[in-house]
Amino acid sequence: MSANTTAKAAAGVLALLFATLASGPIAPAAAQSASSSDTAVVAMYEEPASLNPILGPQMDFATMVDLTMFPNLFGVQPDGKLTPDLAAVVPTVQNGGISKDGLTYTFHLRAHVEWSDGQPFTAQDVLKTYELLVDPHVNALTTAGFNQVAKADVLDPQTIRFTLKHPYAPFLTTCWSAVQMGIIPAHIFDKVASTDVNKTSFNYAPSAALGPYMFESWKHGAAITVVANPHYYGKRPKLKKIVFQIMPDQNTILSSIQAGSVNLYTFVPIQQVATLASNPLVKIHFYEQSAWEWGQLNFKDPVLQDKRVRQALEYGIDRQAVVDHVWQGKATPTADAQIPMYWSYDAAIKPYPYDPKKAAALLDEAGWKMGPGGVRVKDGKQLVITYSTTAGNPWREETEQIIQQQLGQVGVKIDIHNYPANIFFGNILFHGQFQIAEYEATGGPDPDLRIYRADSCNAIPPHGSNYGAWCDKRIDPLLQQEEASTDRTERKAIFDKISTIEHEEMPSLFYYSPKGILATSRLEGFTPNGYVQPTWDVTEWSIGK
Amino acid sequence: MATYIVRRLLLSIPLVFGITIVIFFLAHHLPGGPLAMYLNTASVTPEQLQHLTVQLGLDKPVYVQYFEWLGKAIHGSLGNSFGDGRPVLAVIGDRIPATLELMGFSFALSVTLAFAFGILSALRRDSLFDYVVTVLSYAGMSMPIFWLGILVIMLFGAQLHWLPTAGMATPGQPFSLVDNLRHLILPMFVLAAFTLAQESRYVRASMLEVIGQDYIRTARAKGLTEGAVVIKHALRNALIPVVTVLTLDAAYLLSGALVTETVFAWPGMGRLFYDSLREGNYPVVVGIAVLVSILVILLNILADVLYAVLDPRIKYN
Amino acid sequence: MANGDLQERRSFWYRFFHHRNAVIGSLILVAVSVLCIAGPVLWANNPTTIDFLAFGKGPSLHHLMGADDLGRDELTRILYGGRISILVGFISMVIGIGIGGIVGAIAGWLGGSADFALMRVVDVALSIPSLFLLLLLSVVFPSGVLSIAFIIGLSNWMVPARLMRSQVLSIKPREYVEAAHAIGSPPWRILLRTITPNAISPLIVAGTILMGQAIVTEAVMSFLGFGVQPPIPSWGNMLTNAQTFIVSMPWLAVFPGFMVFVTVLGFNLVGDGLRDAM
Repeated sequence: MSANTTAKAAAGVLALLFATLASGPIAPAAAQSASSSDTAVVAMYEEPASLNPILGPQMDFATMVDLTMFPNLFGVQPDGKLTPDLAAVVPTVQNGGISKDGLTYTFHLRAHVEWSDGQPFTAQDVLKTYELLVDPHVNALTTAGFNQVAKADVLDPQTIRFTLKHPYAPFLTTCWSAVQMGIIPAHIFDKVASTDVNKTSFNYAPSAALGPYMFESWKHGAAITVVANPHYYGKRPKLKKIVFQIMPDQNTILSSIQAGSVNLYTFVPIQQVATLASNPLVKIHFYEQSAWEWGQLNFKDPVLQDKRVRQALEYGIDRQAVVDHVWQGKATPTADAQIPMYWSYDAAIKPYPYDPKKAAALLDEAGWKMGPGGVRVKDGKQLVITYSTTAGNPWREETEQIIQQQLGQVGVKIDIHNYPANIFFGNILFHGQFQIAEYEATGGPDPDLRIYRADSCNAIPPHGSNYGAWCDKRIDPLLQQEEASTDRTERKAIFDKISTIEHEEMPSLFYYSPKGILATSRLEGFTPNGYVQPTWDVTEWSIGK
Repeated sequence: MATYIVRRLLLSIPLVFGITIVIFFLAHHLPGGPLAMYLNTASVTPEQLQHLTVQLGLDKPVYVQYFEWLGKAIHGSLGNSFGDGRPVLAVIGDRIPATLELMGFSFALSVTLAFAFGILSALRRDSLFDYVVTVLSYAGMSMPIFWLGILVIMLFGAQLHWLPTAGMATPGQPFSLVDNLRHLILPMFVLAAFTLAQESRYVRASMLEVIGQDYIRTARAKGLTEGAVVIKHALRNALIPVVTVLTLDAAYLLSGALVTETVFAWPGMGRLFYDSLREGNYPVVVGIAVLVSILVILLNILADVLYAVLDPRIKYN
Repeated sequence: MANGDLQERRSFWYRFFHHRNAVIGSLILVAVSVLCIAGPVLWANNPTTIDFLAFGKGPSLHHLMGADDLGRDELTRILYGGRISILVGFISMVIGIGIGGIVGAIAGWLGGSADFALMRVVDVALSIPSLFLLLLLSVVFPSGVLSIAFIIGLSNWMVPARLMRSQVLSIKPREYVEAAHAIGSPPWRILLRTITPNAISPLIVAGTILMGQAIVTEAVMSFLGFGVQPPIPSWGNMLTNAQTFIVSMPWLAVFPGFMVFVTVLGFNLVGDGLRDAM
């Protein structure tokens, strides 16, 4: 019988082990509230590729961490206004910071600012940041705007001047605000050959920081920890540490934030909002953001070259139903590539109404007559359109199936073919292998950047992200005028003209601009900001009970 | 024996070469690719893409890239990650302890319980206990591992809040062994489910076969205690076929770890592989695939060697 | 000869149907098949019709398994999805067994360097993470249910190849094969008429188990983003979509997963029964 008893003993020990660990001396909920009140935990479902703020590829979560360590010359307030950060003032034409012709920008930097290793912050750091971004050996996060610079001169340790090739209105926001990146230390990168910048140790263990926090550790696959920077020039942050916890599965983030072991959960799927709302610990924040969902149309496809077909598709989709049912009303239908939060938004241009009759009439007019099986036919060819988006994304799959059903009712057969995200962006979009491609476009605080990238004849891949290769000769001259002006009223008038053209031409199916959704648990002092990552005001954060 | 092992090892060298070739070429033809992440980024210029292509060494023909990779690999370097530029071996090395912890505990758990359950249900054939074990092991073998993971998270995490369902430690707290082990419990059981089920079937079957043999009857007839019969005679012989299964199960755990680690956010090698695959991070993908394949080959050899050691009837020359 | 065959067959079925696991497994599979084939006729609902009013409704008398995130009846989708999943499983099994059987038979029959070469290909293919093959093949083939079945089949032929080879090797030296040789039958005829029928039993067992695995593999491919495209339901894509709703609509994850589990269980039990009966 000894085998029997051995097995029983083994099972007993295991059961005991399980029981002690499971019930444990500390229950999980208690463990959370016992967790130190000087640390905030931020959930990330993707791991940054690097912590060097100037290196690509662009990843929201990398920017979120970088923002705590690497500020830029200007911060961005929730209303989109720039405030001085590392710069002492925001340059304008009035204060002489910007020349009247819009070609030279002079930045006066804040004095007595030190890196976390005690070295002084000077104009050399700004210069180095610019130089590396445009260095062909560096895998730069972006060159937008920086490629407009003709020369950069350090006038004194606290002053740097940039001279542009052409006037470029978004220069401050696109290049020197907290939207994208921060300043890197010249005293460290002077010792790194530009060919080695992509693999220097600074990328995964940055040894100097300028922000309220500095690097402590990166446990790959698990967490990145930053700790308060004693050399920070500004207000001392309330929390000692921020832990960026890598949690690839959103369900685990969901249960962790409910338990209070995660304090901030970004990009919350709308489908989880109801669950979160029922938890007394959790607060949900909705905010306008510079993002919009659209279905790009491919102009290499003869069927979609017909404006009437494009308009018919837009009329045939009940976008309000998508907003109400998929987004639970937390999105705004759009009429063109401008979104409500932009100063350039023209509320007078209304989204197309849902009008299946009008859609049918337009299709009839375009020669697509109703054929057998409820599918329209022209010249013996059925009106079948392939619809692609990123696979495994619940709200996109819901949206496309609603669209499929609605367009089916006006005789347009939609075939769905989705791809994993990297294939969708890398192969399908970039190489124009789609008919309708749905994805979310994002812009910066300046409305120029996105439009310039997606609607210009000069932005057809590989020169930009005009994946549908729409080319309307009226657009580019307008964009040039708009960029050359530093006056907002003047620029808005031009943007309105562009919007009117797009509203008529329907280069893409405009769907809606979804609200940003964030959830916090026991996190106080947090304010959402639609322009920058949520760590923008990290010094204000504290942990409540 | 030594010559047999040496011969097997030598024979596996060309196999490893074949595997590296196939893996390398497959990885470099995977769709998406390492540039995919850049293509949806603000104002990527054709020049920048060209520079990236050259930097990452993707401008050369794949066979040239392969031989360069092979040259470095022979000298112990598997290249640098496309992500942060760290050496691939360092990137993988960071994740190995987590995977070893998960696999090691799962393996130990499944072996211990499998022997306990298998032996007991063989000794008490057709008892209630035997039925329960049989039903459970069929269930374990048929359970899709990620569905089991989801169920476990739903039950123990979302409903009962008994156990943590993600990561290796509570975020923001200093490391503690108890905390780490609490995190280990759910992924360990999920990963062990299949192997435990399969192994207990094997142990049971093997025991049943041995118990019916003449020498066991002889041993019993000699008046040895039941315990001595089971341990000294039956178990030893029943072990032989089971050992092979155990070694192969270790290989299974490697791929099972990929799913389990992804479901439970366990920061191990499997998840690194999955992430790198999605990002088109070729050097890491190839590095992990090659290392795992080599490990599988070694485990196969180990299985054969153990078989020979345990079973005196088999002679290798 | 024919009489003996019949005898053997009869006793095979006799053994099979007196094998407890085999009977349970067969019952499960018959039940699942009948439900999936006849169910949609009886439970007449369209699996793709979106119903805004039923968004996320839990199980009720009207929707026995609840409704999904687009208000579609979950039970209807389970039944239609079962047709797709089982079809994928069956086709991929046929392909895997077919390729594996041919490769194994050739290797075993020819022996020598051809055998060596083929078996090294099998070794290499077995050592490569199958995820790789699945991902790559997914892009090579156009999307669609048949493609997915094909891809799974193409990544599953190695074990059947080994099985077939060892069977052929063990049968080749037997008397009746040598006899066929002696009377001058061409090799393909011997292979087809004499060896294959004798070697086929382990392949059938392997095929049964492969079919269960293929249904799981289909789910894994959905998880990777290469599954059956919406709006066509399969157990795999239903399970993948359900992950977002684990907390808010748990029934969406429970039912398709349970169907996969039960079906795989059925195949495993039948596979066991076949092995013991043969």
